[in-house]
Amino acid sequence: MQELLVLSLAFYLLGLIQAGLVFFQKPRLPFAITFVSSLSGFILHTIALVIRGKQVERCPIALQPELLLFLGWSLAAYCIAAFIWNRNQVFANYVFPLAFLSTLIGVILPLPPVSPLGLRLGGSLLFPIHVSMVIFAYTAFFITFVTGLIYLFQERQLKQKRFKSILGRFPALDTCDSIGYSSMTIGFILLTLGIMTGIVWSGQRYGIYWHGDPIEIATMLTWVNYMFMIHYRVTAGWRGRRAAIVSVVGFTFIIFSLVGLKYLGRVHVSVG
Amino acid sequence: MSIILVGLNHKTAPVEVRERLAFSETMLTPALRTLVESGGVSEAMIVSTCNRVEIVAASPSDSAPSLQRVCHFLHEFHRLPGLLYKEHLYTHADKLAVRHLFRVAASLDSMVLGESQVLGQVKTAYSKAQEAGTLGKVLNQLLTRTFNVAKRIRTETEIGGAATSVSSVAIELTKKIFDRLDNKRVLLVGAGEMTELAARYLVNEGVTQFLICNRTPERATELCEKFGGEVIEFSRLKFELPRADIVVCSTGASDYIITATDCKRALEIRRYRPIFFIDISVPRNVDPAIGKLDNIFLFDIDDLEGVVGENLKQRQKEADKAESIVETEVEAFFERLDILEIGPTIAALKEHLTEIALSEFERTRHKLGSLTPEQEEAIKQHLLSSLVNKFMHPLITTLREGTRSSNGGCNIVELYHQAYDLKERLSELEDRRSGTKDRRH
Repeated sequence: MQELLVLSLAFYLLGLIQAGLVFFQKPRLPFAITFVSSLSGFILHTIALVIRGKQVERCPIALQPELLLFLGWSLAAYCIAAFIWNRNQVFANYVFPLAFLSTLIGVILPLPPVSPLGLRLGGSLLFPIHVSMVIFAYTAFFITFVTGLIYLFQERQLKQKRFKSILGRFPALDTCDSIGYSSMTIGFILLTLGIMTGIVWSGQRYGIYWHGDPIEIATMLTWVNYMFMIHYRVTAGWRGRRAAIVSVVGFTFIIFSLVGLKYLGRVHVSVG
Repeated sequence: MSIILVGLNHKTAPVEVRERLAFSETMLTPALRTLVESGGVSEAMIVSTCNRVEIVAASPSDSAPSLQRVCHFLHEFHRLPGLLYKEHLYTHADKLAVRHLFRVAASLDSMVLGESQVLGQVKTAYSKAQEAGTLGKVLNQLLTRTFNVAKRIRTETEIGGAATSVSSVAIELTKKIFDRLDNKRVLLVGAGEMTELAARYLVNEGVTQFLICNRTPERATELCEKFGGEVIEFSRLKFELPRADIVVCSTGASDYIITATDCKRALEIRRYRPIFFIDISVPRNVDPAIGKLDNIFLFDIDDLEGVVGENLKQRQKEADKAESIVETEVEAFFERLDILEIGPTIAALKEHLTEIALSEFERTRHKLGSLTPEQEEAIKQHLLSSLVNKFMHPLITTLREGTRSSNGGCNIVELYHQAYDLKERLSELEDRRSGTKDRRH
């Protein structure tokens, strides 16, 4: 499995090079080559995840390296879908390095061969659905975060009349804004589903729907935060700079809740 | 053999002169044929555009008289007396001519440095000359190289990179804010030349919806007929503002006609969808304070010209790189041309000398006593062939130097041909070469 992942990283490398070329405004590689290469990488990545799942006899999204591998996989999936949608778009080129990075770290981190969770999580299909929904949601929020950063940087340069660093390099402001908004909406829907499946799974397994652990609370706060953002956008026209700031802050909060809370003792019902 | 170039461009001649010496498309073929038949040149090509006329030719004789004849031809063909416009013409021979052609094709000699049109014009001129049948070995070689050099400069430098006019910079900035312009509505305030120019650029980008607002409605109606859209009364400007995504403003008004209050109101009505203002009027017509509002982007003429200036500076820097590419390419071209010219002579000479060496060896073979086949082979392979090479070396050097000094070159080749009686051998070699080519086909 490890070999497959390394091979898929090798395929991803071409997409990474392309991203660099786009950023530094150099002549790009032919689209067909980078696309086929990224797609091959993605297919190998998928196979590797399936093999891992067979080995540990559960859904391979529970341990930290597994989560990273899955995050990388979902980011790569996003990029490939985006390139199928519009091959000339610039934005996915900026997401691709993150897919690469996440996968790379996932490969480097030591992976225990058989997980003790295998027994505890049981065969319920709800758990993998819960975890993957939440990860997909975070992937979407992450994309909103990246578009927000690009928006803020460009807006600042434009307002200060420093055009050199941005001309011909990043996607237009309204593209950033609309990609950010649509992925935020998708992320919100996925997070809602993720929370719901998590609650149901917990109820089935433990008979308790709400444990009140830090991750649960943080996730609920995230959910409320994004709900307000969508609400204000629809009702009060929060767009552009303000929307970008809020989405960056919102994602920082997610990072904090995931990384920071890990060190606050008993964290989440399944990982505990 | 010499390569010559006679021409004039926007730097050496005003438009009145350029138009009298220009060649229209229909004139090109007869002009080229006349030039080759009576102008004392063997190959010719004419590039004629609104900014320049360049006559490139290859001549079997020396360059100076050929240049004279081409100058005369240029006047005679246009039925101008004597050498009326002589002071507007430049004449280049050999390296300078090649260098000039490379610079023209790479747009280093253009009015707007790095523009891409001129290469296409040179290509058209080339195919016109091809049709007229006035191209030969030398110009074909030269032009193929020229196109390669121009392409190399395009890819290796950023001479054609950034926008160099206020309007194109404005469009580039618009595209930083809006991904697509075809679904955007543009408000033109003022119906002068500048707004018309901007409108034309926007139409090229796919804009179809215009709102046109001018103090005198007649002029607005005129523009409206050209680009489509609706005319707005001047007094209603601030009420129509919310409908516009892009505002181009250029009037003679002496104070702000779009104020911060108008703008805030417009944003509220638009639910904060962004508005892009371009204010190219002096004095400014849009209150600069609105540039600080979220979702409003305002650029005035200084901002745009600042970018243009920077881009031109950038192009100038890139042009220096391009010039050094041109220099090395000129050298490389002449080296290759030399080989093309003296290559067959060298081959014939080598064959000739090798034959002499071998026959002398056979003649004196019996005096050498018994030799093993290996020894015999060593004598042929090493001793004789290195002797031949040693003999040839000074001959080749003289030949190269001779061709490079451009006027005596042909004579030295001739001299060799006579001294070593190479004529027959050359044609034999030529036959053999074409024979192998045929077999390959």
